[in-house]
Amino acid sequence: MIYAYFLVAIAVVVVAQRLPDLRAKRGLFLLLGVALLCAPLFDRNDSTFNVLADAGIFVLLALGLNIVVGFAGLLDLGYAAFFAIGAYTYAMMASPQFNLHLPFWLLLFLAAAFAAVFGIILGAPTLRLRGDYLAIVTLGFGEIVPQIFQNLTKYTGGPNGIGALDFPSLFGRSFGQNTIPYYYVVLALIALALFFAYNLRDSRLGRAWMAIREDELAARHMGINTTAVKLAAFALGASFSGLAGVVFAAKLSLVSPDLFQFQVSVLIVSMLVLGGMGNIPGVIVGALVLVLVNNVVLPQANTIAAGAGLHVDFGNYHFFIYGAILVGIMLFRPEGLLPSRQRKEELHHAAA
Amino acid sequence: MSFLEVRDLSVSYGGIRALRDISLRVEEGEIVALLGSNGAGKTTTLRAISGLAPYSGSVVFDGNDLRKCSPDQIVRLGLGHAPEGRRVFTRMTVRENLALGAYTVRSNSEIERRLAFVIEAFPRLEERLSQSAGTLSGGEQQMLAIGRALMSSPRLLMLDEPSLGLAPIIVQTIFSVIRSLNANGTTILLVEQNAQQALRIAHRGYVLETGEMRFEDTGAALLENPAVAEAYLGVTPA
Repeated sequence: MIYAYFLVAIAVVVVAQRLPDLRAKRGLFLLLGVALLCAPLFDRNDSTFNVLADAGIFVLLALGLNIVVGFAGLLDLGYAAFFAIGAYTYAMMASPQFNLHLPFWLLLFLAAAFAAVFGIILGAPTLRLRGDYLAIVTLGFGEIVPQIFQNLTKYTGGPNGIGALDFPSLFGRSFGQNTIPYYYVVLALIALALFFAYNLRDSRLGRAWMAIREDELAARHMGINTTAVKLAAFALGASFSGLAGVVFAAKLSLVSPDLFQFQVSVLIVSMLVLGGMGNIPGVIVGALVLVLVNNVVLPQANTIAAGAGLHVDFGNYHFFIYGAILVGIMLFRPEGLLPSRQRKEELHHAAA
Repeated sequence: MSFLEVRDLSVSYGGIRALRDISLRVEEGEIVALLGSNGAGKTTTLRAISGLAPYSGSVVFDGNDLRKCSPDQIVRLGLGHAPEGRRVFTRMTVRENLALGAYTVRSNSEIERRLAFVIEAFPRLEERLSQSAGTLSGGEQQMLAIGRALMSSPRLLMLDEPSLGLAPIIVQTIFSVIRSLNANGTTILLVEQNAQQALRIAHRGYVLETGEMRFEDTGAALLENPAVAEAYLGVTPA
C-alpha cells in the first residue's frame, strides 16, 4: 500500500514535468495535494503516514539544498548541520531540558531564522571558495555542528541528546503520539517551500544565482553583487532545513547528535543528483525514490530474507545501494532522472 | 576632469607587476582604443576600472571615485564591460542572457526598451532569442556579449577584444555597430589587438607595452606613427 503512495506521487511529478501547459501542470500538482490531504480519511494505517511524513521531511531538505547546490551551484556537503540546528532549536526550547516550553509554531519560525543565520555564518568565510574547496569547508562545518552538540553536554545532553520533547498542539489539542498531524504539517510546509522555491527561481535573485552558477566572473560583469547573492542562497537554503529539523525533532520527540551525521548530508546530495539538480520536480522525485529505498524497500528486504532463513540487515548496505544508484545515474543519465533544461544542455554539450 | 580618468594605475598579480603607473582618459562621446600585444596589460586595465582587480592609483568615472565602489555599483554608475572571451552564459537562452545584462535595471518597460535597442543594433539576435547561447556562432556570441553589456544602458562601454577569433566579414559588422553606437551617444573604450581596424574608428588611442604606456595620440596620428606601425600594424617603415 505504501508503495502506491510513492509511485503515484512520483508518477504525478514526472507527468507534470512533461506537460507543456503551465495550468495543466498546476492542476495536476493541486490534485495530488488534495489526494494527499484526503488520504488519511480512507487509510487508517498510522505507519504509512509515519513513512510519508519522513519522506516529506526529506523532500523539504532536498528543496532547501537545491537552492544552494542546484540554483546557485555552491556545493554544500554539510547541509545536515542546518537540519541539526533546526532540530536542536526545538529540542532546547520545547522540552524539560531548560524547562522552556515555547510553542511549536513559533519555533518553526525561530528555527528557520537560526538556520538562516548559521547559513550566513558558514557562507561568509567560504565566499571566495568554489567547487572542491567549498565542498571541503562545508563538509567540515557539517562535522563540527554535531560534534558541538555532542560535547556541550551541559546544554544538549551530549551523546544521549535531549528526549521527552513537547508534543506540538493546535487550538489547544495536542498532537500526542499520532502521526497524522505531523503528516499534515509536513504537507503544509512542502506547499510553503514549493511556493518559495518556485518564486525564488523565477525572481531576480534566482536569475542571479543561475548566472553565478554558470560563470561567476561574467555575473559580476552584469552588476550582480555576488557576495550578497551567495549569502542569500546559503541563508534561504538553510532556513528550509531549519523547518524540517523542527518537525523531525517534534515527531521523534528526541534529538541526538548521531541523527545528523555526514551520511545525512550525503543522502540529501544524492537525492539532488539522482533527481536532477536545479529542477524542483526532479529533486522531489529524487527524495521520494531514496526514502522509498531506505525506509520501505530495505526493511522489507530484511523481512523477506529473514523469512527465507537468511539473517542479513540490508540497512547496513544502504551506502552500497546509494553508491550503485549514483554510479548507474552517472553512467546512463548524468543529468538525473528529471533534469532542468540548462543542466541537460550542460551535460550534452560537454559530451559533444 | 575627463569622463573617465585613470591616473597612475598599477596592478600586481602575486608579485608580478602587470601594470606600472599608467594613465589614460576618455572624454564623453569618444571612441578610445587601447592597443598592445598579448600580455601588455590591456585586459588588466579594464578589469581594474571595473573593480575586478585590486590596484593602486586612481580611477574616476563621471566624478565618482571608483576605488570606493564595488563591481556592481560600478555597473550601476553606467559603466558597461563586455569581457574578454565573450563569456556569454552558454546554457541560457539569448533572451535570458540579455535579461541578465539588465540585472541592474529595475523597470520592466526600461528593459523592453533596451532589448528593442539591442535588437536594432544586432538584428541577428532577434531570430535567436529563444535559442541557447552556446549554440550561437562566435560572431553571434560576440554580438550577444556586446548586446548584453548594452542592456544596462552604459554611458561608457568597455569592449575587450571584440574582434578576437572572428571572420573578417563579421569583424566589419562588429566595428560598424561600435561606430554607430558611438554616433548614438555611447562613449567607448575599446581594447584591441586588431590595431589597424581599431585606430580607423577611434578618436584617440593608447599603446601599452609590457605594462607601461608607450604612445598616446589621435587615432589617425597613431596609424601614421612609424614606430607604432612597425610594432603593431605589421608594416615595416619605408
